[in-house]
Amino acid sequence: MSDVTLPPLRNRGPAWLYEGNWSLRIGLVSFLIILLAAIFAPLVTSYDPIAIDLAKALQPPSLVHWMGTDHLGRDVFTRVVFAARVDLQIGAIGVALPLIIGTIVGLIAGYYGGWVDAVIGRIVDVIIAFPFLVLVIAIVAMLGPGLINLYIALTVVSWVLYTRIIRAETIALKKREYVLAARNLGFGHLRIMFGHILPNAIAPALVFAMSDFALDVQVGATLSFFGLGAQPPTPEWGLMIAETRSMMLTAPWVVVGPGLAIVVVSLVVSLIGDGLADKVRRLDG
Amino acid sequence: MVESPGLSIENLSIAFDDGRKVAVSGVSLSVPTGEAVGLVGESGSGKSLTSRAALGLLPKTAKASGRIRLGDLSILDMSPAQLRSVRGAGIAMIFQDPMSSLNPVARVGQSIAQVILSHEAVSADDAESRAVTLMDRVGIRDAKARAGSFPHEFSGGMRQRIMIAMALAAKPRILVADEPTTALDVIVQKNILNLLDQLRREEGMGLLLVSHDLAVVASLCSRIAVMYAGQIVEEGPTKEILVRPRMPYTAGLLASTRRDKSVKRLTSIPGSPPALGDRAASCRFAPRCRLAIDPCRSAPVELIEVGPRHGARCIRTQEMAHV
Amino acid sequence: MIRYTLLRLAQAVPVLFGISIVVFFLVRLIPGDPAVAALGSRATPELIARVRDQLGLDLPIWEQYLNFLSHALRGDFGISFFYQQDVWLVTVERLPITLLLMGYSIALAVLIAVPFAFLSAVRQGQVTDHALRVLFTIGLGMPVFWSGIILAYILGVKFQLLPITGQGAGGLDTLAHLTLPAITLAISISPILVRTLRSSIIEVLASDYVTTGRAMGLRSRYLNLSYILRNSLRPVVTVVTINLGYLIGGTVIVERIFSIAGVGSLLIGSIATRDYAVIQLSTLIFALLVLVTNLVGDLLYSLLDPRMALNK
Repeated sequence: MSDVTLPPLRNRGPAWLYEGNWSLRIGLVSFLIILLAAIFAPLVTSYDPIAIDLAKALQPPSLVHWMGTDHLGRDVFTRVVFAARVDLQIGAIGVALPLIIGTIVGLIAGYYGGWVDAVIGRIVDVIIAFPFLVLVIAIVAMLGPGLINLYIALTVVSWVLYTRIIRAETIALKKREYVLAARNLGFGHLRIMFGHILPNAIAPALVFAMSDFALDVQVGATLSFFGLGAQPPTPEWGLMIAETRSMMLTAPWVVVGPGLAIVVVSLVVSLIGDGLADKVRRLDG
Repeated sequence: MVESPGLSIENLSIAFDDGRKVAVSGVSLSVPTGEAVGLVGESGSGKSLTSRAALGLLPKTAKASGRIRLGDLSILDMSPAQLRSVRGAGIAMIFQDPMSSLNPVARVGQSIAQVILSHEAVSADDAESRAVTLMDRVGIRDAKARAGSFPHEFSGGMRQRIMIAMALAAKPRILVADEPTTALDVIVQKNILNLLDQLRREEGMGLLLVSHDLAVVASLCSRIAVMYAGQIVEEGPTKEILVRPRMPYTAGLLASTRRDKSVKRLTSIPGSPPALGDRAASCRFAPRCRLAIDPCRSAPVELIEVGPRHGARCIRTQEMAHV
Repeated sequence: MIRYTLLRLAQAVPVLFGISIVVFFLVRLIPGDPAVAALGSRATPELIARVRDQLGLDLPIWEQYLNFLSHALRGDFGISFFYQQDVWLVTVERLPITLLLMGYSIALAVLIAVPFAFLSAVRQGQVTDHALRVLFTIGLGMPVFWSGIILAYILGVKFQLLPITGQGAGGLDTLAHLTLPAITLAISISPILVRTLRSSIIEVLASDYVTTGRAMGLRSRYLNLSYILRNSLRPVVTVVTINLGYLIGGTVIVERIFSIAGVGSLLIGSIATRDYAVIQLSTLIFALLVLVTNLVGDLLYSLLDPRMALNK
């Protein structure tokens, strides 16, 4: 009996961090590595991402330049690492703003119902009717190229996706006993919505946020590729591919690196998403 | 002994999980052509697995040993292609739920005709017209028009008739019916059973009728085999089984059948069948048996001849006779 | 069936109305004077005044919208500044090649997805299944513009198997020219199809009717086609319609990469030329395409599944 030790009574953080399945663990660790590499990019590589050195233009991959050099003699790997700053930012902002706005609107629609819900529902229907990329492109085309306008466009188009998820969850949750009890206790609407419903409604939205992150990174790179997002000489994966596309015949490596970076980020994020979805399923079941 | 042209199962065992879980052990059973044999047991007794094994229709994870002969063919040794040609034409099977057992996107006439086309070199037109004849034979009115309908446009009883028509289409020698009436209303049940009986006699088929319901089986079959926990515990002529059961489990089954025909589990015997993992090497029914004595619990019990063509897996049959 | 069709049409009306509002306000997003923006370096006071008048920019906003709507209903979306032609004509002329490309891509995607989904379903939980899942997750992670460029390089330049630009001279030549773009698109949408098909095949393989089919000794070909494939394919129409927006996004990119004169490349091209009316109409057309396809998809679904037709 004396040998039995109780586990220490300290908070070990949210359960999904330490009880995680493998896809969640690998995903989170990889994402952390990418994130740290982006933040500490100058420590990861000794080259300058922007300075031009034509003498070194279009060198094939080697031990010195892992992914070769581009047409302006810049180290492709260096630029890929620095570009992660921009592209991860696109993913983060492209998810965060719609997530916040969409969640609030979804809570309101689901909680109050009636005409509020009807109006919000119609707006959601209309925006969802547009192909995602087309509407983003059209909005940026009107507002003008640039990252800020890209964020505006991403937010305008994708908040509805979160609204739809949160609304459905809210409608299901508001009939639950504990919510009804909170009402009977005279809690305010805001407190019920954000204190009681939101914490239980958010999980599916977070799972979706992962695939949305990957989509946003792809859309950001695509718009930059078409000259609508990041502007030269900013290193950005889509833009890098656009700048060097014409060199592809003689130096195919210039477009491989940035493309692979996008693939890797999508893969990592979808691992996290799969892991989260698995968690949510287990919590529900 | 002359090779019977029917189905004979010899010492069949079926195991899962690399042999760790034995679902069916040492089952022997024969269904001669022209005769109806019943296989009775609770769900989980292994009766459905046994009947599926007769068509080589076991799940991939199952491992079967023993012999299953259809005439001079050995089912367990056949290649997938050989099995395909035997199914339908040599031995066919109908299932419990007519609602889900027909292809929802095929017209029923087509479903029947395709069985014919799968086994015989006939033209599509001939197969179609034979399909209509078959539908007529199984009692579907206005068969010609109804052949163009989809399964969802029929009632449960009618769908079961269509499945029977499919099963008969390639003229099998043996028909296996696994709980063919369980999902149907009582009146429809009777009609389907009568139909099966009539077709068996007209076609000279062997019928293996599998059911949890002793009454259903007794109404059609000349012989009955009772399964419990993966073994046959009693087998014999229907009359004998009904009048003088020689194994306590059969007696309990009989008693519960008289009381309530709808129950799937036995209420007249306390306890429940052993799980797949912990089946004793001794008599498997002993823990629930009120006649059980020490030897029942210590050594395996074999099927004992208790009368002409009548066997029981019980060492207390003598006592049974007096109860 | 007819009643159901009418009901679905009626449901589409408010969405259609909303789409028109969004498309109308798109042009209002242009910072500053749209007339100036449209004219760019060509802007003179007289031209600006003429364009403002033509666009009705001096009227109250709701009147502008009603004007837009009434013109739009007659197919009048103004004049393209770049092409100096009716916007409707410029845009609609390019729709067939876009639709052809989309149809071709869906067909290729199904051709890719079916065998792999089958393999995955049959080998459920085994190494093959996991490997295929990783492969298709990578497929989903590849940005279309990048995979398009890489494919063009490998298949078009290195091995010279397929043409890499333009839409050819009609007929088989067009099909040959569209093959590379269609493969690119198919790779991007087939992962979605594989996922759905895999689970639907697993479900069908375990179904009672497939067991019946086996018990009757049906010919493998018939069993595989009519029992397994046809039932497994039922969700495909739904998946394609649900993901049509995604497919259209890919089409826009691919048309641009492979220089196909469709609505998508027109949309991207018009950004540089500030041909706002063209951007407006092509956006509208893509939204309408989604709306119409959803409708047609629903009706098609009920054709594929006889049970649905009766229930509605």
